[in-house]
Amino acid sequence: MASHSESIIREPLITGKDITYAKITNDILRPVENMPGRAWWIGFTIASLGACLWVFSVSWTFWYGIGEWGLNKTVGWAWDITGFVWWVGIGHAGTLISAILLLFRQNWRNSINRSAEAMTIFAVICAATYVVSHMGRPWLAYWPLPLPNQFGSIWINFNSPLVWDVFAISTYFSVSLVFWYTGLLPDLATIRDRATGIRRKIYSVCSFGWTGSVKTWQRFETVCLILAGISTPLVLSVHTIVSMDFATSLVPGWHTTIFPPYFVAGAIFSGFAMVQTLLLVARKVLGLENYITMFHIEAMNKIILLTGSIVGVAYLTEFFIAYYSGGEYEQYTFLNRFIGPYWWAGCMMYGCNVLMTQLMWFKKVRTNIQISWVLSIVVNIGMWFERFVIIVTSLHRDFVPSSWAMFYPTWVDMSVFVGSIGLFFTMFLLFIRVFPSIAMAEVKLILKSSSEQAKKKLLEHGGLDKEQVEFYKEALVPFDSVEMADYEKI
Amino acid sequence: MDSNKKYWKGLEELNKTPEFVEKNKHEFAEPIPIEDVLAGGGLGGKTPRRDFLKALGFGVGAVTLAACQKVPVHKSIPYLIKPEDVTPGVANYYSSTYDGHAILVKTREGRPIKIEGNPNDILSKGGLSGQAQASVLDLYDVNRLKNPMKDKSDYGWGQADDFVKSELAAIKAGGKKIAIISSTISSPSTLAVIADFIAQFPNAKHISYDAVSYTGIIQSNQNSFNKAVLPHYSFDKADVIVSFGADFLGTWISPAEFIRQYVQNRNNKSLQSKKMSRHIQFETGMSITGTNADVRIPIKPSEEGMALINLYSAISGTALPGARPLKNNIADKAITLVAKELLAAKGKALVVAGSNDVATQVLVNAINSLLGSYGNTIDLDNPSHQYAGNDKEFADFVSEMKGGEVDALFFLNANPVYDYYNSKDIIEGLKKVRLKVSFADHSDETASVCNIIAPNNYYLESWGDDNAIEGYYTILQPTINPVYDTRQAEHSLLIWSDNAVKDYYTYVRNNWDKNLLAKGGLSGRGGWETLLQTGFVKAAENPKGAYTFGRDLNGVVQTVLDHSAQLADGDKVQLQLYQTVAMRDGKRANNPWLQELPDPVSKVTWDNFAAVSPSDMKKWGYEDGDVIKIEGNGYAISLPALSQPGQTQGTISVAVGYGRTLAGPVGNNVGKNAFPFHSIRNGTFQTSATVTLTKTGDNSPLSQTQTHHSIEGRNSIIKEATFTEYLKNPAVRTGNGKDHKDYNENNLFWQDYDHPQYNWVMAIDLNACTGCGACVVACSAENNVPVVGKAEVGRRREMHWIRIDRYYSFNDNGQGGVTKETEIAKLEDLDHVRVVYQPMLCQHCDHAPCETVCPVLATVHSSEGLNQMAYNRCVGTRYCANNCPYKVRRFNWFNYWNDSRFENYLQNDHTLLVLNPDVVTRFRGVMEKCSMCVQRIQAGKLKAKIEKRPVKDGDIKVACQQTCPANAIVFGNANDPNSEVSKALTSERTYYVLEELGVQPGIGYQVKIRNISETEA
Amino acid sequence: MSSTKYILGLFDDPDDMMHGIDELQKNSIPIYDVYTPMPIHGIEAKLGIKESRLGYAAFMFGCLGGTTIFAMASYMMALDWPMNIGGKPAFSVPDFIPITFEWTVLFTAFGMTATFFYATHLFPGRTPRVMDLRATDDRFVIAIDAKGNIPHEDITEVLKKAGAVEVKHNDRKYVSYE
Repeated sequence: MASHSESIIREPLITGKDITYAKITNDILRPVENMPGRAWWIGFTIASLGACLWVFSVSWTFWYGIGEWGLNKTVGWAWDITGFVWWVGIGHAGTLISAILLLFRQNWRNSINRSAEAMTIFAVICAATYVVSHMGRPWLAYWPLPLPNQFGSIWINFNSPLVWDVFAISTYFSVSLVFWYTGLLPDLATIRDRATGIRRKIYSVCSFGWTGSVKTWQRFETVCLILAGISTPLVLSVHTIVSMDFATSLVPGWHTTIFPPYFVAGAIFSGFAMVQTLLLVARKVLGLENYITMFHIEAMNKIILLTGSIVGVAYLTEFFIAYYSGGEYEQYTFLNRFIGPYWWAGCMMYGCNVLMTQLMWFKKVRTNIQISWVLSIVVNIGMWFERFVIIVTSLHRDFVPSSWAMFYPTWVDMSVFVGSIGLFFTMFLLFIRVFPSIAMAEVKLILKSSSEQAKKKLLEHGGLDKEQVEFYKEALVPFDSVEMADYEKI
Repeated sequence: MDSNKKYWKGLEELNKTPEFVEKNKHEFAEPIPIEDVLAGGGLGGKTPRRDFLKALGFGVGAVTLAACQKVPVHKSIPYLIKPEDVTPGVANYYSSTYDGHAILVKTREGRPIKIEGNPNDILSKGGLSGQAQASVLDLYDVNRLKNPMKDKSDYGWGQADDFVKSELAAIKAGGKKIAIISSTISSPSTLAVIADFIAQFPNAKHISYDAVSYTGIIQSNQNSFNKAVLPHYSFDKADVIVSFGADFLGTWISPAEFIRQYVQNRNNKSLQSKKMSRHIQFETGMSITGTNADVRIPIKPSEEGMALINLYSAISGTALPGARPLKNNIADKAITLVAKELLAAKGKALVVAGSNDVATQVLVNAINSLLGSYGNTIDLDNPSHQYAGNDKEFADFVSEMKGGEVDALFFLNANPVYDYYNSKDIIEGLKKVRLKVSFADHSDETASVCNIIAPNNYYLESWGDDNAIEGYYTILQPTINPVYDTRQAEHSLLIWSDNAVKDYYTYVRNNWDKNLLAKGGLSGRGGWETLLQTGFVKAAENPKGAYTFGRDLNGVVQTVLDHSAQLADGDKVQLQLYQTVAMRDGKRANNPWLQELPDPVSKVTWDNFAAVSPSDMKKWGYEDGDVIKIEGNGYAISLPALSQPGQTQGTISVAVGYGRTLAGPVGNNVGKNAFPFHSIRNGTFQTSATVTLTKTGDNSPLSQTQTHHSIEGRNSIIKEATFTEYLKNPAVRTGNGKDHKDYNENNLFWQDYDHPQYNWVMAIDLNACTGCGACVVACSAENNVPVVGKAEVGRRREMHWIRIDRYYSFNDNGQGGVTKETEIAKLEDLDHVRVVYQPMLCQHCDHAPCETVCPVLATVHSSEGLNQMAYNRCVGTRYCANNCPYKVRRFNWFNYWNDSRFENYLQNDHTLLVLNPDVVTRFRGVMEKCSMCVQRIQAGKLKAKIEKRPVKDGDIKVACQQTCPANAIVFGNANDPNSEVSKALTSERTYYVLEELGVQPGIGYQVKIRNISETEA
Repeated sequence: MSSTKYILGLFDDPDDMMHGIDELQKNSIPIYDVYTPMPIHGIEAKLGIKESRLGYAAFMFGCLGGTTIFAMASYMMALDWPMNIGGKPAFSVPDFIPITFEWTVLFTAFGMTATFFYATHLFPGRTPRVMDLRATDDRFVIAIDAKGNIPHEDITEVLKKAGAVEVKHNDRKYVSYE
């Protein structure tokens, strides 16, 4: 029964006083149903300028050719694939949150999965743009698909990791989209039934005529559960396959068997960092402190700490294997990361990803919003450099020393990358205006069980273990959305 | 009956209201406000939506109409009457001559597209230099003069003839001098023409002037043996070769020939007969010859003289007066060792010096005569005619000209205004000359100050002959009609001298019928036709007399010492001038293939530079690319510095042949002109000087195709051993036979594909390859490899399908090579550097990593073991290039054949005629690489099929192999156990680069062997 | 005879609503349907709704996807035009695993969701059959077919007693979106 009360030692997932179902709806729909504020406009202007820069620099590349980038005969991939892997990595948090955490019945996912999934979709879009724009002849981008053609009929190479990529990325994108949109239906219906005029028409089209009858809900939950079930291996497979682009090659520094788990961990790492970056801002700007609470922030920080440490272990393993293998090229590559011309990139990578995240062992750090936000950005800088180091530092000095070369990015390289970030934020900012950035139905689900007020009622009702009560109060202290004063008298 | 009914729509029409009439004039009821809409204010108009829609409609309509433009039609016109000897799609080969080498010119549909060596060529047996390979491109140079010029304005041949003849007549009457200035002419017929001309004008004189001259040697032989000739050297007969700054593998006299001779005692065949020549090089700058030497001792130009004196003393056993031990004690030790070796190899020894100083060369003659080289390794009786320049004669002439004693001048293939050390004098002198005629086919530095330019035919358009060495006569026949309104210089001379025979072809025929055919045992029409097929005749050699040097050396020694003293002047830096293999004396500066051909040693393209030794770089505080001002002999240029290991400390080397100002758009202002550093001394040009260096402060990076120079101890890429080790165990380093790990054995995962009929593979002998780079040019010519220009090369984007990797290793106190970056940094002495060259091209791996990763199957394996590339399937992910351990794949970053930013003067319709029609040009965004000349393979198989026979070994030669003067590259079918390549690959020295990766490369390399004993420096 | 078509009991708390259902069922009043802004666990048991069979559909689609792509790959690589790609065998099963997995997931997801939409009559632009606008917001609505369920007052009573904050007697079945 929905009314069963959760144990007192769990921190609340919804804070604030007299939260009703109606209030939840009102709070969450505020940004959707009202005109945007100044903060949004500023953000949107900057972001869309970035998007324009992206359009310009990508068009420039298409017009003049890949030669406009800094690549050369030795370093065939640099910022392009770095950006691609970076975005795909970021795109891992959403589905992971909605799928794996659902399977693990982690109720706290309910308030963050929606925007995390949206972020996933936009990140994957950004990644996909790189797949096309890095090609020498982008107008033939459809050739890696198994289509009959005039070469009568030369198919595609299913041995090539790039083909696996095409399948993985497209599947991941479309499945995430389905998952996300299906989840949106009930909330769209809510908007529809509150809206009037043209907005009602639009939302009524978008909501597929959702009614919320019993059978619908029942099937809806089955669908979500099964989608979660298949998305979990999917999300793991995607970065596994991306890592195979490198792992199956023979370039020293790429040809590494631990890449799949290593990349997946890294992806979750950067994904959660990006979610953190976005939500810490969103909850303030959109006034959702009651639904995205300190508990959520800390939980995500814990995951960042965990995955960050996994990545750290992966780095150590790499070095050990390079040393232990006795392969001279492998050894040189890893030495080169520190003593080579790109030593600074190496330091950024190891510093940001391993050292900085270790700070999260301290609860003070985990529960400090400003620090968490900064760290979340540091993490993504570090992860960008990780990909840069893996790709460029490995390529620029591989087997035959005569071909060793340096890579220098051009303005086009930089613009495409900066632009893709602009593109991403443009899409995200539009999203929070037209769709509820928190899954209302799912939050309502946990209102009675895990909200602060419910737990407060329990306290007032009394008859609880003293220690537990104290523990609970302790836990509430770092919450910025809870007034401890209310707890004095109890 | 016709109706007179009136139909009207609307009352307005019926009773013609004025506004209706007005409206009716216009096409549309209301005018379309395109202007205001486009002016921007449009949408602000009172009915913006409508206006917008109108504008939109109009726009779409207009664009659609514009798009209906017909595609321009390219007409291809078939032969109306097909020339009997031209079959479209089938190449014809014509024998001809380049620089005295017998060559074959490949023509397609009547246009020459490739130069190939004539396999029977006496000099290089089918090998050709990069210059020869590139020469075909100059035929299509759009900057060649299209017709005669007078005072920079177009002129007709008729007018020109009248003008010149009248002038000559007048001048003849006037009695002042007439001079024909030419670079060395070794063509008998041309010489005959000139002789006739002189007979007609007794006051005329023919002066041979070579920018890079060998007068020193010729003179010295005059002094020593009364034979003013350039000897013919036989490096193949020499077991011990000692060279003092003679770059005989790169630029000295007849490099292609010398490479062939030199390699005969060092290649696989010779090694298997346990024989390897020994080569010691004393030189200043790092020359390609020095890099190939077994032992290379860096010495200053000022030390060369003393070194020779000591060598002489050591050999003769009697110290010459003034013989002092060298300050440079490594060199000093070396001299005594060398003397011993030379004596041991008496009669099989050869000492050569690059110096153009008579005294120095006399000393060398003395040494050689002590060693009994004459008649063995040096032949004075069948001399070389490749260089006959006389510096003194020319210098005297210049002063005469300044004195106003000259009235008429003819420049034939000579450009003194650019390459004479004192061009000021020439320009001044020329002002005093009445008739100045140049036969140059460009309006070059000299031609542009002449009043008549009578453009010469290009050699591919000309009749003629050549006589590189005594008794070897080659024929030059045209392979295409003159492209422009040019005329052969000889023809002009014949006309101007009112010769009985006006037509040069007839003249050549007559000359051969009279004098030359007989030498080859030929005669008459039949003989002539045989000649045109074989391309040359070889007369019996003159008997070789033994020459002994008898002159007293004291005077000579004194001169040498004086000169050395001059050079050693104080703390000044000594400058050595040299030619690069690509540019030579700069006559072909307008050839983009040569400009982009990396210098074998420095790997620099599109520039000359000041080579400075690494220790001096440190001492003087230079960084690579720092522009430094070089001042000396009253001349100064600023060039970027380059750290060149092996460069003698306290010296710099600068290449001549750069800094042309009127070569043409490609060559103009590439590098700086170093000729003016020459000086004349004892009647010969001196190629070394003392200079002062100053840092200008700016830095202009050089475009090198290789920026990391050491092998980092990666001995599965380069394997080298000493000759002694080799003798002990031929399989040294490779461990072939017994202790070699087979990386291809029992493939656990899958069955290998078999190559039923052919399995095309290659063998490259690192011991034969001298690194000259001819293969690179040949490959570019054969496969239409684009030229990308300096900037792109600097961005590491050169497109060459074959490259020659050059690695330095440094001797750590005489012991083996130090190759690791980190360790090299610690070394003190970077002068004693060993070099190895490795031609690197697509290895056509049987387990090719590039094929597996291509998403679209653009690169797959053929049943003949070739790694194929389907350009029009490639989408350009560049994954294959990343995954290629040899980094031999090249990406078309831009549309090089159709992008004005990379045009490098190859993109006009005329120059494009040089393209090989059997190979497509590649589009932007696709990957390309060596195809092992698959077009040649197909042609060979086709030929065999037509002749109903299997392909024989040697039928198919790939471009790089065909031109290699060293025969370092062998290509063939591995399925045929008797093929040359199969034999080569079974040699104990064979190894496969990066074999342990298991990609099963198809190209086997053979260990580099150095003929040194560990103790030597 | 009143024109009431449907009687709606609006609750503001899921537990009250559940209680209401019990009450109605005690009084053997058939429930037409229940509309809630969020899934209510345990309700389908009460109303005796069979478990969804979407899982089986998902499984079938998955199998279809896997076989499809594996068949395609095998045909293209091994049968239609086998080539020597880096010396690897044409029928290289290990290399087919990633794509096979991906399409299994793809077909499962799309097939199942499509089935869900089809079975539940959800598609873009379908007019929502909604009885009360707040059912998607904060009201938990029990709908009772008024036909043959009289007297309506009693039903109202039952609902009221069960804690309904409001009871509506609607003359139209669905809210009009016009």
